Amino acid sequence: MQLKKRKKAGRVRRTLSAASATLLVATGTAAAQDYYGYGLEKRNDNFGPGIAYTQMDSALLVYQESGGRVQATEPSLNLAVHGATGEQLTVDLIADAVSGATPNGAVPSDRIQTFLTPLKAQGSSTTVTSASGGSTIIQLPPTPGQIAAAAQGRQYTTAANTLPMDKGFRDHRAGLTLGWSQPIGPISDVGISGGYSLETDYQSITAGLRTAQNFNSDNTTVSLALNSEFDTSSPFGGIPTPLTAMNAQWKTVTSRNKTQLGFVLGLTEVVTRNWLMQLNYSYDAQSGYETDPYRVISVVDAVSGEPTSTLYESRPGKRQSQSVYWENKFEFGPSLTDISIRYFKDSWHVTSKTAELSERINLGRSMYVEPNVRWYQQSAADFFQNYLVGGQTLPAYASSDPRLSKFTGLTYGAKVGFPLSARTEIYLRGGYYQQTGNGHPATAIGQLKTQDLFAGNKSVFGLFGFQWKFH
Amino acid sequence: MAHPVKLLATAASLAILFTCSISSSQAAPLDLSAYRGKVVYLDFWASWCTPCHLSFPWMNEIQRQYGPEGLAVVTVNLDRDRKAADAFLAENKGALEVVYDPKGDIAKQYNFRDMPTAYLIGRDGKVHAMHSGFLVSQENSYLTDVLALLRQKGQ
Amino acid sequence: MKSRTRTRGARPLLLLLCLSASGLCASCSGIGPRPWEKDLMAKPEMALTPYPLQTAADEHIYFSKEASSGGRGFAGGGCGCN
Repeated sequence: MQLKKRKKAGRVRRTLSAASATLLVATGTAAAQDYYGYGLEKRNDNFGPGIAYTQMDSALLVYQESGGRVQATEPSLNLAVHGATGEQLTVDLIADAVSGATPNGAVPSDRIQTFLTPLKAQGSSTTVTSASGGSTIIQLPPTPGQIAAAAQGRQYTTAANTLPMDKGFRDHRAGLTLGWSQPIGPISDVGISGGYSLETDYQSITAGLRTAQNFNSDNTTVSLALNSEFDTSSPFGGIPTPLTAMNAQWKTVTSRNKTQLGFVLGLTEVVTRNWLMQLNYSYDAQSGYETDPYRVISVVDAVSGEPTSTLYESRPGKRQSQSVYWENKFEFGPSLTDISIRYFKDSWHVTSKTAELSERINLGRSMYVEPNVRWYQQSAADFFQNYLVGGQTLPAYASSDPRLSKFTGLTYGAKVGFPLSARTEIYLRGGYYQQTGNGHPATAIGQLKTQDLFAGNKSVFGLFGFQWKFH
Repeated sequence: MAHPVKLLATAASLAILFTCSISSSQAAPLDLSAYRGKVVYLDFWASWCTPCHLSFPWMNEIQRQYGPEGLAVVTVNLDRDRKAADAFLAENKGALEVVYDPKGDIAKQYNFRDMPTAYLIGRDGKVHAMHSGFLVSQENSYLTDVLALLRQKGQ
Repeated sequence: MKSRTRTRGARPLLLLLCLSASGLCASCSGIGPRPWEKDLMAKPEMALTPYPLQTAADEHIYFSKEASSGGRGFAGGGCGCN
């Protein structure tokens, strides 16, 4: 028996003459039309290739750090409209409200410390209330060369032997991302996306292109995603000059930008009936304003370790990073194991390793539990310092941001899900994330030997989600 | 203590060899001799294949309409779990012939690359066309092929 | 200085790995299950990101609190139907 070579999905190979074909189409059409009905699709709970359907995901994330630190509430929505021939439209909406105290980057001291930040510039509508987080409004002498109206400042104090934190931190953010992808000719998938996110002091515009090609009866997929981002930081109080003294003046430079370009090269492989594997290489290059305009670093006395002044931090204007990510999903009977590892390194000499394991266990058809654990370890950036020592030359770059320090992070989480039907599912996930680092380095001077210099956080988070599919 | 690279290489080799050890099964070819002289629409499907849910109503209809002219729709089910196949058939209501091939022995003989796949076998017993996948927008062209074989004069 | 025993031991095993891989490609017509063996891949939970908002929430937390980010891909898997 002859076996003809296949063409692309859905195409048909004809061996008859066109004439006889057209003669037969007319008689056949009516019958086929009768039977194709959206009605039948709607009754069936079928969602997958070849069927046009929409999936709506909604979720609410609640995040809380210990010690009165950052707290965030983040509702999000994802709408994915799937066409019958592989087209997909995605709409992502996210909003978040963040508040709470955040470490400002200074070291703890055995004496009370005070910090000065800008309050309000003349004509500016943004302000920080005097009651926020125990700050007080103070009067300042106007300085020549600075914006004249900055004659008031906000001052807050930190108790002895406490990590200095700025409590007047409150922000709202909203973001939208749109994406479209579809197969084009012989290419399995081509897509484009764009996004915009805005918060009080930060704006971000993203754009992306992606493509993927399936081989090997769709067991192998090679993909490439190009992504770009343009951010504008317009911090409250303006952009401070790096490594200058922290002060309450409204800075003359009001905003700075950052550009990012990167790509992700991916290989996905269905290795066996039970085993799906993904291997990705990512590269990212950033250029522009990388510094955190709100962060400072303490200059301490070389002998006593007492903070003598506080300087705004400074980071390099460029950053390149690479990572390799390897994920495996195995399905055996009622359980699904998801294990992934990632290795990351960048031009700031941060290297990190991540390993994550999840185990989804189905308990009957209407419930599953999924415990998971994540282990993370990173090295410090080369310009990371807990503090600067007075009398030494100032380095070009210095930051005490715990995000750039050496630490290990462990997350313990568990999820419980309830597929209510073939169309809807509710899930609830909770987790505990703890960062641990060396708060007592051997090189600590004077009173710093008695302080815990690690400013990483412990947090608890909860995620409530609802997924709904419909035709 | 064994060198980690050696261990990894051994593990990977064994994994690949194990995966590749497709036993030379006694692949049973599908006996279509009973359908000689009829046009056979041989469709391979499974309950987890979503486009198959769309193909069944169409196949039911063409069997109903063109059965008297000599069309025989023969479907081959590739579900490992018979219950899933039964649930699918109950939902789709029809009277199509079903051949159960849970181990894929028949499918291996045809060596197709997509799900679902249908072969159009003429009255001469030879495969004349193949449909890869099932798209509702292509139903007319699928029907054209079927009718062409049904109403073809001679071979 | 590299230990000689290390490189000697690894070579035959790497050779075995390459042979298996090529044998695989030749005899099995490519790596992976046949089209009718993709029942488990068709399950929604076997997609790369079956819960996009959960993945996004996790990534957001880690991006905000760590120096590294990203890595995930977007395409592949599934039953390969149509």
